[in-house]
Amino acid sequence: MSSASGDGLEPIEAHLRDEAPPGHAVVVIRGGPLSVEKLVEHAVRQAREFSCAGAPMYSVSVDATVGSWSLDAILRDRLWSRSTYAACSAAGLHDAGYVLLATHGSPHYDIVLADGEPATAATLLGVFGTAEVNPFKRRRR
Amino acid sequence: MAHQVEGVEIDIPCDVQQVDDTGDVWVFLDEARDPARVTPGAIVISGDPVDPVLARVVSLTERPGGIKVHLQVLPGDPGDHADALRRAHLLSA
Repeated sequence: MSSASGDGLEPIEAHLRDEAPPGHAVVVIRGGPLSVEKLVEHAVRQAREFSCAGAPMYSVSVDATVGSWSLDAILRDRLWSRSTYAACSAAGLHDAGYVLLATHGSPHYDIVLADGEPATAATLLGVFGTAEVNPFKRRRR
Repeated sequence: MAHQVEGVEIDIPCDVQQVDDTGDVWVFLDEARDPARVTPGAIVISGDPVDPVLARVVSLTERPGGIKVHLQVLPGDPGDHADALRRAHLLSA
C-alpha cells in the first residue's frame, strides 16, 4: 500500500487499475440488502479509510461484468452469500452522473458518492431499481 | 450499535463487496458488538442480519480512521456449519 495522504486517509488513486472505463453495456451489480442503511454504512466506512482527490471518499462497492466475469459468475462466486442483488448498466450510472472507479482487484469498482447522507444513498438505489433474487444464494434459513 | 434483527446478532458487520487490495473484506473494530472478541484467528458472525456470514479475523491494523479489521469470509451458510456441528454432537442444541 502507498503511504497515507496528509490528512491521514489512503489515496484511492494509488489503488486504481490501469484500464479503460467499462463499456456502457457492462452490467454493474450490487449485492443485497439493497437498503439505504447498508449503503450509508459502507460509504461512511470507506470515507474513514480512503480519500479521492484529497477529500474523504464516500463510495459504494460494486462488481461489474468485465473481462471473463459474467453476471452468473459474479452472483455464484462473489455474491453467493447475498439473497438479493440489483443491477444496472454502466451507461445508466454514467447518465445519472456517477463516477465508476476501477479499484483494487477486478471486477471490483467503487461508485463515488457526494457524501454519506441517506438521501444520497437513496438516490443511488433508485438508479439500480428493483432487487432480484440471487439464484446462487446457498439458502438454509 | 445494535445489530439484532429477528434474533440475529452480528459480532461485527461487514459488506462482503467492500474489499481492498488484499482481496479481503475490511471493517473497523469499533463497529464490533464486543471488540474483545475480534482477535486474529477468531471466528465471528459478520455480514448483516439479513445475510449473515461466518468469517475469520485475518488481522487488525492501526489506521488513522481507527483499527482496521480484515476478515476472510468463510464458505457456506452459518446454519450449515451449525448443522454439521450438531450432527457431530459438538453443539448441545
